[in-house]
Amino acid sequence: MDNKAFDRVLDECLDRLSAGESVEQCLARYPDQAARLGPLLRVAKASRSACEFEPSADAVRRARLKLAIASADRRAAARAARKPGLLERFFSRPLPVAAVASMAVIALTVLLVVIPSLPPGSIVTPTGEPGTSAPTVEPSSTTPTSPTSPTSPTSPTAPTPSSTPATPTSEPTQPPATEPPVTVLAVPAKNGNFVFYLSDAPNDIANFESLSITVDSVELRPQSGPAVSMTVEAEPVDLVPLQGDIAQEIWRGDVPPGDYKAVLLHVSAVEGILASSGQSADVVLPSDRLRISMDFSVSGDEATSFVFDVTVHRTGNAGEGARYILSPQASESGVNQPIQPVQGQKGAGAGTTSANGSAGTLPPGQDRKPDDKPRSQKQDPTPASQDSSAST
Amino acid sequence: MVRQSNGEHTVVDAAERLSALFDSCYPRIARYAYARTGNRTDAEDIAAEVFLRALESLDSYQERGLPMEAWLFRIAHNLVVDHLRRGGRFERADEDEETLPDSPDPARIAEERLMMADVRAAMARLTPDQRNVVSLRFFGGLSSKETAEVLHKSDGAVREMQRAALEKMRGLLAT
Repeated sequence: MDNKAFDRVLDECLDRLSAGESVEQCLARYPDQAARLGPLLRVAKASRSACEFEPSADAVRRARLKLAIASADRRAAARAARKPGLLERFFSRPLPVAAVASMAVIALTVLLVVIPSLPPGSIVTPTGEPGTSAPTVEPSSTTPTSPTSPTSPTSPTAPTPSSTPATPTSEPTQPPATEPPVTVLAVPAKNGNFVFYLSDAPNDIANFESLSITVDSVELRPQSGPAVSMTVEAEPVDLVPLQGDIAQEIWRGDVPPGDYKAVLLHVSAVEGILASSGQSADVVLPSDRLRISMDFSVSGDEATSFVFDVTVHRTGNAGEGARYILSPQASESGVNQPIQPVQGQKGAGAGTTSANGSAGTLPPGQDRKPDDKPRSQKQDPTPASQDSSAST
Repeated sequence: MVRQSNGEHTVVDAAERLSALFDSCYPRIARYAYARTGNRTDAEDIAAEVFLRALESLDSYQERGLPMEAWLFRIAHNLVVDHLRRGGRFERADEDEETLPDSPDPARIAEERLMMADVRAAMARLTPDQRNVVSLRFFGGLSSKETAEVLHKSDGAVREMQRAALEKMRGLLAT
């Protein structure tokens, strides 16, 4: 065996060692090369174990916080330096604005002053007949632009039998067939197959009198296909009462059954009040969405409950300069977490999906009965969640 | 109903991927840095700095098309090299002043310390390229292909350097 071939064998065996195979198992695969391979694999193994090193938990925590703060600062800077819109850019340039204004004044002058003062018959229409008005467009010859335009013969916009056949209404307004949807909207429903709860891990939440977050929407990322978006009533949820197993339902409805790999919580606002001073706290949300990467399944037959656990960590010393980072807690989240469901808090407004299918609080007089537990409490949730990670 | 993705989403996704890689990559990068520096605190600081640098350079990363994990190790490699140039304690085989994790067995501590010193002494005798390959492959946990991407080498060259490094270390550790 030449050196190149041996290099490949050695490389493969080193990968196998990394994956947990023993030196002897590797040598058994290549008995002809054992004499040359064995000493090198033993050196590699000894070197690896000699420099075995695990960073301390404190170092990992500090590094994660640094990254979260840097992410938040980067996002804030990006927002501040946001590219101005078309109109903003247009009005920021005086020359084009002046040119367009001048053109408009000239056009208006021509329309209002010059044309009325001309003698009759001096305007030639496209038909060549002087003095007649421009041809009007018959309703029957127009092309409806909405795919939902009525098509019955009694409709005022419907084509008349004598008219030229109209262009198919769907073509101009439908997106190109080559662009698949990136996100589909899930439908809220009282007896839906998916229930989404919000909860809070203890950590530094004890420092708060209230810590309210406003969730705009929840997004499920499937293993394949378009993401599923759930619109949540945009009113704040206070995390302080939701510690431990206590969780608040913020969405219930139907989502496509299947395997999912991540959940994203889109948060539009965070407001914290410190218990010690009653002052507003500096709470940082590194990004406007919190993400938990986690494999789980949603069944079509029974309701799957998912708990998204949000936690807060203090960075820096306690006191006025303290800063808090909001982040997802993957280990406390998922579909197989024990929960004690609670109603939406008074004034918070985030609750269950109403019977008519829109997200919101339960209608007045329809408070949940003691035995009216979420379906997840009556049935075993769909088992899932193997590998998980959280990010902001 | 339908939300189309755009450039901003792509950048946001990259930032999210970076955060998601933290848990799996931070320990490996720290291990790689430790193999090169022999100093636990420096290794942890370098690993933390890698993610901050990556976040700052996320826009330039978009243009390169390198796997993010390999890109992080390339940043780590550059930080280690910079640290060496500044006269850090890196790669001095006989100066690991770090205390090993608590162990009830003093003999085992001494044995581990000696073994670590031997390995580091052997690594210090390798060529810089060989040392980089060994560090990234054995301690960073990269494949030979990923190592090649980090070091701007071919897969074959990395495999060759890997074999040569192990043969040299074998000779050095046997004496």
